[in-house]
Amino acid sequence: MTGDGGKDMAEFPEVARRRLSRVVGGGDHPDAGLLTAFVEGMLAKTHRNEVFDHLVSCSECNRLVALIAPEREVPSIVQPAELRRRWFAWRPVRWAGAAAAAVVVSAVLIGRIDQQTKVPAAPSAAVEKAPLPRMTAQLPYPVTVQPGPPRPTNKPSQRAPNSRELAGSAALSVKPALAQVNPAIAAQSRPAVPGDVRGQTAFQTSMMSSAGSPQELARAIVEPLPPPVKAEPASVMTANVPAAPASPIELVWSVSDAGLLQKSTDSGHTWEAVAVPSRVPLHALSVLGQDIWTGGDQGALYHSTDAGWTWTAVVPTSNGARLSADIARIAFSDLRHGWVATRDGDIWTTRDGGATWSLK
Amino acid sequence: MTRNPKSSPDNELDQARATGSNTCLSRLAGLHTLVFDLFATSGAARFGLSIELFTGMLGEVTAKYLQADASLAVARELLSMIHVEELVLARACAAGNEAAWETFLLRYRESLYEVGISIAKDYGVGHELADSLYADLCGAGPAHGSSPLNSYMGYGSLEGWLRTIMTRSFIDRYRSERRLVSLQEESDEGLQLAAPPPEPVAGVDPRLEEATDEALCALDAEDRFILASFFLHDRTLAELARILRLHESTVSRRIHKITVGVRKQIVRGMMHRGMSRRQAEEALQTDVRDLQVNVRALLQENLQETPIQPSPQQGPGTPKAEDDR
Repeated sequence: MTGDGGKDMAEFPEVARRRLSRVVGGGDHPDAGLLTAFVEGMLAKTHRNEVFDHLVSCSECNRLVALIAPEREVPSIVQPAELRRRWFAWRPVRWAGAAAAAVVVSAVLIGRIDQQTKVPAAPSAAVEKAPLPRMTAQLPYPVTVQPGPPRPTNKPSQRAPNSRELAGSAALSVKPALAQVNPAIAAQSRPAVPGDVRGQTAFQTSMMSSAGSPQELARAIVEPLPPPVKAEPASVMTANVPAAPASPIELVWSVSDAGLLQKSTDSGHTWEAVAVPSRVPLHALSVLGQDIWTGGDQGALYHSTDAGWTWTAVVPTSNGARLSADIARIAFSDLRHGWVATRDGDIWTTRDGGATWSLK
Repeated sequence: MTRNPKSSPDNELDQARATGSNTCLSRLAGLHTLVFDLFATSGAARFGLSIELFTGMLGEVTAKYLQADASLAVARELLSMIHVEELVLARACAAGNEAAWETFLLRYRESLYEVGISIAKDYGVGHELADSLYADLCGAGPAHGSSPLNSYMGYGSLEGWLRTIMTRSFIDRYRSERRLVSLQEESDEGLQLAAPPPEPVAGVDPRLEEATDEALCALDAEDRFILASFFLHDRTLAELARILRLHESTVSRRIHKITVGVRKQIVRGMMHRGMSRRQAEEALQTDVRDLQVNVRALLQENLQETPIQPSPQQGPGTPKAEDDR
């Protein structure tokens, strides 16, 4: 028994442990196909319960299932993020981080006032050393951090950059997708400083001019960013706008352990949370080019046709039944044909890209 | 043989029904469109498999996994989950189709070695395992009997299925060699694949057993599996997380939640059977293993008080043996 289970072990009655294998009839050993489908999460509901019951009483098959269960597909880089989040959950550290961020923001604001009263000059060494806090204080939109995996939260749609993310960033990419998904959140995240409106306008103009359509814009935000330019604050915004791609990008998508959709533009070295208007953890993902489906608890199902730029909530219904169970898997063989499997064993299929669904 | 474009689906299915097992194929009645969709997506024609043979395969699948009174919807659900392309590939390989074997090797050769190594945790043994499986798959072809690929039904991926039978083969092999391995070597290997010895049964208050059974039966099948795996079969949180595709912390929280729920339910059940809450709590905290130890100690005490004549077959652990030592 593992050490982490010691507490639970103490609470679980010994008599219950002994009776466990007797309360269900084990039945015959499932064949290799059933066990394979079981560990792949592809078993019909009736078969799934049969296999569960058999595995309760059959030590052999239970062990076999443990051996054949595939490794988790979630990138290992998520693990350090989990650890870091726990470490940061320690209250004194959290307070210290908040205090440090407050100091940085104050310094930036003082610096701005100071600069407005002086004639612009060549950037000083101090500015060169700390250009990032200056940039972050002016960004009008939510900001994600690179490098390093995202710090997931339970409510991805309400995720706004906090001071510690801003203070700890090494390179920044602006992500207007969140603002487009939920304008209220974007409004909350906009700074109240009047002078920032200028920067916001500059940013939007330059983004649109460089990326034209939403699809191009979506593509643009996954491109690697040029290093921050050592310049005046007003030009900092445009300096972060993605330029022409220097090399082909390998875009990788995944769902984190915390149930957040995330993507990587560097083969999984760094991860960036993608805003999906979901209030529940996500578990399943299907990607076909720019066509992305993701789903999670309580039947939450979202579809994007533009590489995660915009999302549409999809509620499959069929003969009065509505998808409300936790979604375990999504698979699309092409843009039109796909299925969604729930943890209850229901299979919802579509043949027209999600316009209509049938429950099997 | 490929599908005749002039024939209608109904006619072909009727033909298939005539050539195949009526019992198996009768389940596919009413699923003509689905069967032909699956035939088209399976690529069976690439390997010269006809619609009749394909329908026969699906008939086997439904016969194996569906009950006799299964509804059309259930049959449709099952067939929709079948990996038909891999099913066709496996059957074509089993039939000795060269093109199918080329595809199979191209697709699975490397992954078979990887799977072997991951199971055996040893490069050499892993390769040996994969080679052995491959020999089984192709060596036992049509000339030498039925290939194991004939038993693949498309339920679960072919790669996963290969992994499963390779793991089974590894366990069987381990067990067959185990009698030649010393205990020290066994513990050094870190593998415990031998079946655990059955636990002795001890008498407890029947009300406690009834309440416990009631609480456990009321659980969801998945919850029972989690409890049994963790507390009975000693699966780790990491293993459970992999099996259920959840995070370890989620599994841990779930175990805690189920455990607390079961405990409450048992206490409630015992109170319904006339116990006070305190009695129920006390009964629940009594470890059956303690009872067994007490019974054993009591028996030993009694035996020491009234020594019996040792029989010739008497083994260690008896009072006589204790005295000798």
